[in-house]
Amino acid sequence: MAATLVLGQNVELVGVDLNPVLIGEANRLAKREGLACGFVRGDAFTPGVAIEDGARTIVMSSGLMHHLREPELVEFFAAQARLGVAAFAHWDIAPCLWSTLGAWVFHQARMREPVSRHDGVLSARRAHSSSVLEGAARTGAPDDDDRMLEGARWQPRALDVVRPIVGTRA
Amino acid sequence: MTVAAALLVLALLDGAFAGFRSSVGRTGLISHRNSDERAARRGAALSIVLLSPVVVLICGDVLVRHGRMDAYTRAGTAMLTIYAPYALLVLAALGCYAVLNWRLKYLASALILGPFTLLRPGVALIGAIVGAIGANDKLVASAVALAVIAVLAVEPLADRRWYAQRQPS
Repeated sequence: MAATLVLGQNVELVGVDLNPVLIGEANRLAKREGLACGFVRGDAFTPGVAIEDGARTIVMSSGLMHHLREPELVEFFAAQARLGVAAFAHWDIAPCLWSTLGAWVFHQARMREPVSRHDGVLSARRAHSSSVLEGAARTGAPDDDDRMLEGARWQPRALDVVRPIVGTRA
Repeated sequence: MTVAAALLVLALLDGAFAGFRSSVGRTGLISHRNSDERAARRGAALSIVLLSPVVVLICGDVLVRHGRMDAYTRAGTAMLTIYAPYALLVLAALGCYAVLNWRLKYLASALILGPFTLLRPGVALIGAIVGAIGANDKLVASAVALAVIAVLAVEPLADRRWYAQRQPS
């Protein structure tokens, strides 16, 4: 997003990760490429570190939610709701046979390290179903309009293998 | 000669892609065209180096022993029946990847490029077996085996020589 400026010049982009080494490297690479974005260390359950004004903030993640256990999902959404964020969009893998098979093929073909090949498949297997994510979002962020953006089960779309749950402040 | 040239072009293309795969993800940068192109050149050059002994062996055999060209042509033609359709599908998927929007790029990568990368060693092996059977000659079969080993060695050697660690950027 920072490289393409797809959101325009007046949007501040802040990346968050738990790992300080990754944060340091991301900041170094962003500076090297002259990208208008920054990275800070933070926790998915305390996102305030990156949010100054919730009403003007959209929280996004990709491939994060399957790292959380099901009981933790409610707090994940509640933490953002308490900060009054304008909207959220969290992408994650849809658990099904095809995503597990695709994850196996992709990681076998592209990943160098055995742990990466293993974890890539486990990520697909431990991903949460749409009903679990929607239930957690409605419980944790009851004031938001929450919904999963994916095709109908009777007409699955290939791109829905990674699909977002989105919420907007009502 | 046409068969030999076609196989050589495929081997060089495969080497370039092997070099590219070897370098992917090592810079961490969003703009990595320069490192991709350098990796492809390295892979193609490594292919030439590794295939050179096989080319010398085949040229020597054809020059010294009269009538050997037919056996190599039979082997090469048989190999192309396996490699050409595979190469055409991969090149078509790469064409999609180059010109289409991100959704179709994703599909090309997920449905063709990923699985075909996984199948590549098996396809190379089947081509070698078909080529060896088609030639029905021990020396030709040995040359075919050496050529396929050379092609399959490009990526691991590039990994070891240039991309064992993340590249400084």
